[in-house]
Parts: sequence; C-alpha cells; structure tokens
Amino acid sequence: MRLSIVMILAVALFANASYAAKTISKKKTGKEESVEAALRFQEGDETGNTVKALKTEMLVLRAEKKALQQLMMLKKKHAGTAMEPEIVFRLAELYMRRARSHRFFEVHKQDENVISLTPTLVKEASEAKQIRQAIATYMDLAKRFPKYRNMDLVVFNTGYAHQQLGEDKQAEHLFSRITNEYPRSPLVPDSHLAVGEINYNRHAFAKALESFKSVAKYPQARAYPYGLYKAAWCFYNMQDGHSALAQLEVVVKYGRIVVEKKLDSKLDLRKEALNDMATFFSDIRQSKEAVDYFIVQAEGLDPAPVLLRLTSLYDRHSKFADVETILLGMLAKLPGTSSAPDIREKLVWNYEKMLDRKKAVAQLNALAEHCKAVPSIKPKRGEKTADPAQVCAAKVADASKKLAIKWHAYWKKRTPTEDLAAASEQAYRIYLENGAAAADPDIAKIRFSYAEILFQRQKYREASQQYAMVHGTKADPKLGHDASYASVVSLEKATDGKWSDADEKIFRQLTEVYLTAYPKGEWSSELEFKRAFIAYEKNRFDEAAVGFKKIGWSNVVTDKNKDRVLKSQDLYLDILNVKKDFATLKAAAAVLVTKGIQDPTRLASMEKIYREAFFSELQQMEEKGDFKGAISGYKKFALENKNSELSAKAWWNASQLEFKTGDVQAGAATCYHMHKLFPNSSNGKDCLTKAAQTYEASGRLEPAARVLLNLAAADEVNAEKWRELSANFFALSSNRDRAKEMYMKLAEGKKPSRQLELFEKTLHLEELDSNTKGAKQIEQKILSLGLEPSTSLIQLKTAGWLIEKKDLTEAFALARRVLNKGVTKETKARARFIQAQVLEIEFREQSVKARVDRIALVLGLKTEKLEKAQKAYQETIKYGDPRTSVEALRRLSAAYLHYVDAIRTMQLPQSLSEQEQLVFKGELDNLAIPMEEKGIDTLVQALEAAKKFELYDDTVTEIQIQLAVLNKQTTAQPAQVKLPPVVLPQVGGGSIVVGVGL
Amino acid sequence: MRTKLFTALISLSISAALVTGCSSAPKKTANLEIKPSEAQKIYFEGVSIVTGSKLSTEKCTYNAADNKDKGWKVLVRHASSCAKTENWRTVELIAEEMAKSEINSPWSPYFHSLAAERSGDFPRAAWMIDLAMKKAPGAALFHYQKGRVLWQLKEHKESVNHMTTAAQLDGKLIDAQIFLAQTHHRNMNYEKAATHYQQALTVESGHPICLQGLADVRMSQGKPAEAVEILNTAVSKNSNSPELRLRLAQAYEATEKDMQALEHYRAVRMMGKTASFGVDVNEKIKTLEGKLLAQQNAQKQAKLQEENKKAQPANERLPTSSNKGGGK
Repeated sequence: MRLSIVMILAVALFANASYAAKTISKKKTGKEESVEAALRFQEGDETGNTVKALKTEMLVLRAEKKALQQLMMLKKKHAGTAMEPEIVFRLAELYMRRARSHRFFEVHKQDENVISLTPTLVKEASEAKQIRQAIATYMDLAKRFPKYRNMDLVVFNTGYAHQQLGEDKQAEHLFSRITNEYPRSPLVPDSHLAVGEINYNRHAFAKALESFKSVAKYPQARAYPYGLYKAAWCFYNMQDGHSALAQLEVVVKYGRIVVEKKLDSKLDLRKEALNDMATFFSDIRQSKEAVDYFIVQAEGLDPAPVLLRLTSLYDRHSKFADVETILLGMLAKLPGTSSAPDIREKLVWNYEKMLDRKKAVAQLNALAEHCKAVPSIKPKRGEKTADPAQVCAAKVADASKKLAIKWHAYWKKRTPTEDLAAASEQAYRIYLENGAAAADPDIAKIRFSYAEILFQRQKYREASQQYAMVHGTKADPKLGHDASYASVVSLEKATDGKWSDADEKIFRQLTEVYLTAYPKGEWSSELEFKRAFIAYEKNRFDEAAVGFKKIGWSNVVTDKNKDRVLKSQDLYLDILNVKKDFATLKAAAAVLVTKGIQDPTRLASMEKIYREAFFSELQQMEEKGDFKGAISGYKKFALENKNSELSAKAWWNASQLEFKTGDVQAGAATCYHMHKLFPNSSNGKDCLTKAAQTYEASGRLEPAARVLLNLAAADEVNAEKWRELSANFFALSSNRDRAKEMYMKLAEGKKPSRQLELFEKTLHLEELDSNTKGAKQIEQKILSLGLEPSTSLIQLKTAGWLIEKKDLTEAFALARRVLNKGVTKETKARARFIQAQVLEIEFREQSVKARVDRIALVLGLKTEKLEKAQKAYQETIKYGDPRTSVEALRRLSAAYLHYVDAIRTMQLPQSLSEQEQLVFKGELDNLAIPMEEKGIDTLVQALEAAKKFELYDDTVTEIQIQLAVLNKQTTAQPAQVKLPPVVLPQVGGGSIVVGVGL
Repeated sequence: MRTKLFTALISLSISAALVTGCSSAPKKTANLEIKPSEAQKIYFEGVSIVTGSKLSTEKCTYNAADNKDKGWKVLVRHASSCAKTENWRTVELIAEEMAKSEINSPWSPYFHSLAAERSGDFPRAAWMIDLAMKKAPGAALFHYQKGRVLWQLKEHKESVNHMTTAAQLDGKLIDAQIFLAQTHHRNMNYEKAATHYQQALTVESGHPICLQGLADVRMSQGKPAEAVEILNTAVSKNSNSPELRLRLAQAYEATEKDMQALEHYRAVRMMGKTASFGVDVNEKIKTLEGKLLAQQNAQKQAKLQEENKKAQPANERLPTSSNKGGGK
C-alpha cells in the first residue's frame, strides 16, 4: 500500500513536469525538440546557461506546484483516511524539495537576467520559508498521527530540516530522540554521526569523538567508515597525532575490506585517509621514513599522490630539504611511477626555492628528457583524460618558462651573475625545445626573451637566429617588428663589421624580412642604410646607390634620422662622384638644395657639390667633344653661380672652347665680359689679353681698344701700357678724339720724356685732323718741356714759318739756337739750311742797281752775301742729310744762277758811252760765265746726289728739267710716276697669279 | 717727326706690347724668304689678282642678310665689286663681317686698308695692310698695297722696297713692275727701269706705257735703235696712240731716219695732235721736210756732178760741200 501511494504521487508529479517541458519546447521552437535538448548547457554561454537553468527551475517549480496542488487535493480528498499521514509526509518532503528550488532563486537574486524574467519569483523566493513549511508539516504529522509508522524518519527529517536552518540545538535534540526513542531504527548511526558533526563543528572534539565512537559500534552501517575517519580528525584536533594516524590506518584497513568484500565503494575512504595521513605524518614522523611508510599504507593504491601531498606540506613550511628527501626517495623507490613528471617538476621548483639553479636546471633537463620518453596516449572520444605525454610536456613548458622568465628578470634587475644568466638561457632553451611550447601563445615573447639574453651574453649569432624565429612565429606586431630588427642588429654584432659573403646573404634575408613586413617600420630606413652601406664597402656601388638614394632623398630630415639621412646623401653623392656620373650628381644635389636645408654649413656644402658636379659634367661634355653644349653650359653655370669660385673658371673655359672651336669672336666677346662679371678672376688678364689679341687679329680695333681698357683695370702693373695701346687702337679706328684725350691723360704727372712721347702722338693726330689750333697747343707743351729733338724740330718749323713771314732775323736766330744745342746732324743740317735760306734771301735782295762809282761796292756786297749763303749751304751739305743736302745744292745752284742773272740783267749806267758799255758788259760776262758754270755744276751735283740718295720723289725730274733749260736742250718727256692702281682679288675665273710658288 | 709717329702707330701690336712694351721698333718688311702661310694657301685658293679697273664683276649688291654664312669667297667677291664701284662703306661692312667670320683671312684687313686709304686715313690703312701681311706674309698683293699706302705717306723709299718685294714675290704683278720701272726711270736708274719694264712686258707684251717707257729708257741710254724697235712694236699694237707715234718719230729722228720720222710726225698730225707732249709737230715736219728736201737736192746735185765728172776730166771737177773740210 505504501509503495502504491508513492508510485501514484511520483507519476502525478513527473507527468506534469514532462508535460510542461514538452509544451515549452513546442511553443518555443515549433519543432519536436526534447526538453533535455532545449535545456542543455552550452559551454561558455554563461548568460544562456543561466537562462536555461532558470527555465529548468521554473519547470521544476511549476511541476512541484502542480504536485503540491494535487497533494493538497489528495490530502483534502483522503482526509481522515489511512492515506492522509502518507500524503502529509509527501507534502513535507515536497516542501523540502521546493526549498532547493527557492534556494536557486535566492542565489540569483542579483542576476539581472533572472530578475528580468521572473521578478516576482525572485522577490518572493525563500528557502527557509519552504524548510519551515516542511518542519511545520512534519510536526503536524507527528502531532496528528503519533502512531505513524515512519515516525523515526519524520523525527530525523525534522532534525535535518533544523540543521539546514542552522538550528543545531533543535536538530541535536531531534537526533538524540532517535538514539533514545528509536534505538532499533536504522537511523541511529546516522543520528550519532549527525550529532558528532554538530559537536565537531562546535569544536567540541571530545564530545564529537564520543558520537563518532558510537558510530563505530555499527560496522554494518554506511556511516561506519565515516565515523572512524572523523574520529581520527577529532584525535588530531585534540593534538593526538599518533592516535589520529592510527585511526586513519584503521580507515585504510577498512577500505581494503570494502574492496575485498566488494562492498559499496563509497565506503572506501582510503584515499581521503591517506591524504590526511600525510598531514598527520608530517607532524609526528621524519621525512626520510615517508616513502616507505606510505608505500606500505597505500598498498593497492599509488602512494605518489600522498607523498607529493606530503612534500607540499613540507614545502608550505619551507622544509625544502625534506621535500628534496621525499622526492628523491620517490624517484628511487617508485621507478615506474606515473607521477615521475610531478616529482621532477616539484624537484625543479624545490631547488629553485633552495636557490640551487644548477640543480634546478638539471632537474628541468631530466624532466624534459623524461617527457620525451613518455608515450603519447590519445584519449578516447568522450574521455576527459589527457594525453600523458602532452601533460608531461606541458609541465616542462610551464616550469622552464616560468623559471627562465624569473631568472632572466632577476638577472636583469639584480647584479647579473653568470649562473643566473646561464640558468635562464638554459631554461629558455629547454622551453623552446619542448614540444608543448609550440602551442603556447607566449612562445614568441619567450623566444624574444631568450634571444635577448643571448644577445646580452654576447652570443650574437644565436641571438640573431632566435630573433629571426620570433618574427617567424605569430608574434604581436610590435614584438615581431622588434625581433626582426634585433635579428639584424645581432648579426651585425656577430660579424663585428666584417661581412663575409655568407653573412651578408643572411643579412640581406633578414633585412628583406623586415622591410617586407614593415616597409614603414621604425628601422626600415636604418636597415636600408646598412644594406646599402655594406654594398658600398664592398664596392658594389650601383646597389649601394639605390639604397642611399632612397634614404637620402625620400625622407624628411628629423633629429632622429638626421645622421643617417645625411650620411646616405653624402655616400650617394660620393658614389656618383666616383662613377663620374656628374649629371645625376648635379641633379641630386640640386634636389637637396631646393628642398631647403636649414643648416647653413650643410647648405653651403651641397651647393658646392652641386656646382662642382655641374662643372665636372661640363668638363665631361667637353672631353666627349660636345663643345657647343659645354660652352653653353659653362656660361649658364657661371651666370647662375656667380659667387662660386668655379664660376670664373667656367666663364674662362667657355671662352677657351669658343677659341678652340674657331668661334673666336664669341671667345673674345666672352673674355670681354669676363672682367665685368668676374673682376677678381685669376684668368681675367689672360682672357682679356686673348680677347684683345683676337680683336686685333681680326682688325677690329675699336673692340680691341675697349678690351684693353678692361685689361688695364685688371692688370694694374701694366695698366699704363694697356691704356696707351688702347689709345693707339682708338687712334687707328677713327676715334681720334678719344685717343687724344687718353694720351693727354696718360701724360699727366709723367716724366718729361714720357710726356713727350704722348704729346707727339697727340700732335700727330691733331695734324691728321688738320687741327692747327690743337697742334699749336701741343707744340707749346712740347716746347715747354724743352726736350729734344722735338723742341728743335718745332723751332725749325717755326723758323720756316718766320721766313715765309719775312721775319728773317728771328728765323735766323731761332735756327742758331737749334744749332747751338747738342742735336743730331740731321737737325743741325735743317737748322743750317734755314740760316742758308735766310742768307740766300738777303743775297737775292741785295740790289746791284747803282751808280758807276758804286757798282764795285754793290757787286762786292752781292758777292759777299753770296759767299755767306754759299757757306751756309755748303755747311748744310756737310751734315750729310740726304734730302737737306740735295735741297741745299739746288738752292745753292739757284743762288749762283741768280748772281749770273743779276749781273747779266744789270742796268748799265747811262752815263757810259756805248763803247764803255760794251767793255763793261764784257767784264760782267767774264764775271758771270764761271759763275754760270758753277751754278750748272752745282745743279748737276744736286742731281747726282738726288739719284745717289734715291729720293723717289720729283726731285730728280725737276733738276733734270732745270738742267735741260739751262743747257738750252729739248728733253724728252720726263718719266711720270703715278700711284699704282688698286688691285683687287677676283674669285674664280682667272689664273692664280699671287704668292711665291703659287 | 711725322715719319716716326706714323711708324709708332702702324707698328703697334698687343703681342709686341706683351714682349717689349708699346714703343717697339717696326718690323722689317717681307723678304724673299717669306713662304706662303697656311692661311694664304687657303684664302688665295681660286683667287686671281687683277687691277681694279679690269675686275670682271657685277655691281655692288651686297646684303648682309643674304650672305650670312656663305663663306669667305662670296664675301671677297662682294667686297671687290663694291671696291671697284667705290662703295667703300659697304666694303667696310663686308670687311667687318669677314673679320668676325674668318679671323685668319687676310682679306678683311686688306679691304679695310683700301677703305681707310680712300678716306685718307693712311695710318689705319698701313696698320690694316700690315695685319694682312702677318696673315699672308708671302702675298705680293699686300706688299703692293703697303707700297701704295707708304707712297701716299711720302715714305718713298720704303714704298719702293715693298713694291720691289711685291714684284719679286709675284713677277706677274704688272702694276708693281710698272711702278718700279717708272720710279727708277724718273730717278734715271735706267737699268733697273728697263728691267721692270721688260718684266711687265712679259706679262702684257703690248702694254703701251711699258713699251713707251722702255723706249724712253733706251733713248736716254743712247740706244735709239732699240727704242725704234720697241716703239714699232708699241705702235703696231696701239696704232691710234699719238704719243707712241710721236716717240717713234723722235726715235727715228735720233737714228737719223728722217723719212720714217717724218712719216710718224705726219701721222701724229693726222691724229690732230700738232703740238702735244711739248713738241711742235708741224715744226718738226717742216724741219724734216726741209732737211729731206735739202738732202734730195744735195743728192740730185751730187748725182749730177757725178754724171758730169764721168763726162769731164778729173782736173775739171768742181769742189762740193761734203768734201770741203774732209781732209782735216
């Protein structure tokens, strides 16, 4: 009957629950999905899982509510029947169950999801209320049905309900009623156990021990082993370790019985006991005994976990030596134990705590080696057991990683010791060589750290390799970036700047990795620079140039990259210079200059390079024979770079090329401008000289004169010479006024002799211009200087003019002054000739007209004057000047003949008779005839002299004619000399008739 | 003083100034050892030298724009044409153009010299021709021009020297030969004069002035027969020249070939030149006719006497004028 009621109640309860679940499922999804499937938790979905749990609880709550309603209906329906106490008991149990549901909502009172879904439920939920409802129901049952057959259970459950509410006193009372009022009840050991627990919790260990000992009186009870076990703890808490340990040994022993008798395994508490034995052992026994003790105690079980727990206890008390003893003992006495990895791992850490890093590393190595031998066992599907090999590897990875980092950090923070560094390095290596590390998301960081310590320990090549591997792994971008760069730096340190081809190959690979991954990375420019620099050092200029160009011309100069960028610029320019690629060099420098360089020194340097490249390019052009281009370029250069020291040279080169290529006029013009453009040029004088020579050679005297003026300005030492030459050229180019002005200016302040030269030139030009006034002025200047022979010549010229003016006395006196000076024979000849002319005029003017008595006197005077003139002419001739001599002879001859003519035409006195006149005329004839012969002879002498002196003028002809007249001869027509005609070149058509041999 | 100053200007050059200063002495004129320069070989190729009046050329039509970069020969042709037509301004322009384009050419300074000479700027003319001579020292033409310039500067002796050099460098430069011949002739240096006349005649055998001059020289040398020969040649080639005929007549007269002399005097008179060249042709004819008539009469008388003599005995012969003093 009792069973049937329970079955009815169960069916009623679960039928509702099942129904409700199915309804929800259909409503929610519209599919035939099971409630179980709908409410199954999804791993990681915390919110979802909470909601699912809530739904589950609500279903349960609804089902419980239904069941409660049904039970209430049944209670009402069967009130007063034998079924009523059963129904009330179930009702109490249902309240206890509902207490669990309410506890769920109480626990989730702060959960927003739960509150939002069931705010009323959450608010009203109360576990305690349900439990009290259950207590009330149990008490109602006990009160109304004191004969109820399961009253011991009602009392126990009531006690349990109080215990749940923390009402230990009521609970203890009710549990005690069981032991007292129902001694045969199967709930007696449980009641002892419950009372023992209540007292144990009150730390009333002795009282509790009593209760637990009471449990031990029921070996068949399920509470028996637990009672023994708790009794051990009471001993322990009562400071009786030995009893406690012994009590646990009993528990262990009972466990073996459970196994042997195949009892409920839940009654086998050996594991719990062994664990607690470790605690008790550490208090009362020595560590060296532990391994053997627990091997015995754990018979049938693995002692290793207990021993390991024991080491943990020692460890907790920093008894590292004890830990070492046990662990080494375990390795020795449990050779095949599956806990070997744990043992070694603990050893590693224990040595670390003992600060014995060498042993720690040794154990780490041993652990790693051990793990390598652990076979891999793949867990079957659904099994949660891990692959031991993986587990072991994970231990290696974990320990090595932690220690490596720790030691590395110590080494960095504290005074670095070689041992610490070595340990860290080895730990890193062990970690990285371990298979488990591959899955570690931190592997890149660890490897980076490993590389760091290698680098710091100057193991650069290995460091480089490790850095490179870091970049190869999926490291975070910054780490990858830094590692990639560090790999290059390490390699560079390893090579110590001496790059073998092999190392350079690696270097290139590493830099390529960096530059590909981080084209705009912080170090990309530096690496490009290094790559280019190595190529540069190995004379692979083309390759180096590309790199330097990129760095030097693509980056804005900052404080950070300044050195590198500038050096790249310098090296690139240097390469171009070495390669003599001046066009590119010029262009590159120009870009830098126009970019705007802030540093004035740098700017000046770049400008200088630009100019030198420009200049060299032109020289190259010249060497290749592109003279036209070179000329144009040189001029452009010079004009664009006037401040450059090369500009004057460029201008000079342009001029010289123009001369070289035959465009001499252009060359001369270029040189002419040189002085204006580059007055301080060292080539200025040469250029101007060449320009002047060119113009002179071209017959272009005016430009030549102008160039010479510039030359005078450029050549101070010879300035006067060039100015005079310039004046000469002006004189010859119809610019005589300017020439005269220049001569006069040149004469200022000079020595008299020099002044004379310049005055004479000026005088000459005045004469050419027929400027009498000007000529007179210059003559006055010359006379004032008193220098010879010019002064004398001017005086003689004046004397000649005085003769024309009939001022014979002054003319004679002037000539005498000249004669009295130490002048040349020619000048003296001319002076004496002047005097002779004066004397001749006086002779000619001497009249012979006279009375008879004065005739002798007159003739005597005439003869005397003739003799004076004759003497003067003869003395003139003696000086030997050809033209003056011939003239003197002619004049002398004329004087003789004048005398003859004067005598023959003499008017005879009328007083004489005809006969006397005949006689007188005869006498005169006697006087005239020899004189006439003398006159003719003298003229013949003049002719001979003229012929002798080769006077190619008309003198000979004139004398010839005179002689013919005197001799009364008819002469042939005298030879005429005409200026020969202009002769012109005729191009083509005629025979070539010029030149020697042509 | 004038000569010295001219020399100072003419002989100046920058090169000389660079070496010795401005007052360098004038260089000696060319001598026979002068060889043609490279420039001379180049710039005389295809060029003949002719007296200006004989230049066969078109008018002066030079235009700078049309003749740019056409080469020195075109410029020389234009310059000669313009010089012939006395367009000296254009000659100067062409010479300037040549100076710019052909610095080594002697033609630019040559034409500059001609133009300067024409304007009376003899120092410039002399300087320019000196420049031409520097470029082509072996060119007779430039010594010739130098001689011309110096002659006008009254530097006669130097002028003759340059003309002599020109004649030596180019024996066919007839105007130089004639000038030298006349100069020496005038100075009564008959040998030299004859030589130059003869050389001129080898170039142009019928040159009337040369023939006449040579004949005059021969006459002066007392070689009238040679003069007759020369003048006959001259007259045969220049039959319309009254002067030559007069000379020939006089030569014949000197050789006492009165008949021939009379014949040519009459020819002169026929040309309407009765009193030219200082000779009264009519008087000459009259004198000669009288002389010849007298001779004819004398000859007739002599013939008659001869006939009488043959007819009478020797002691009956009459004395004649020709043998009156023959015994002394």
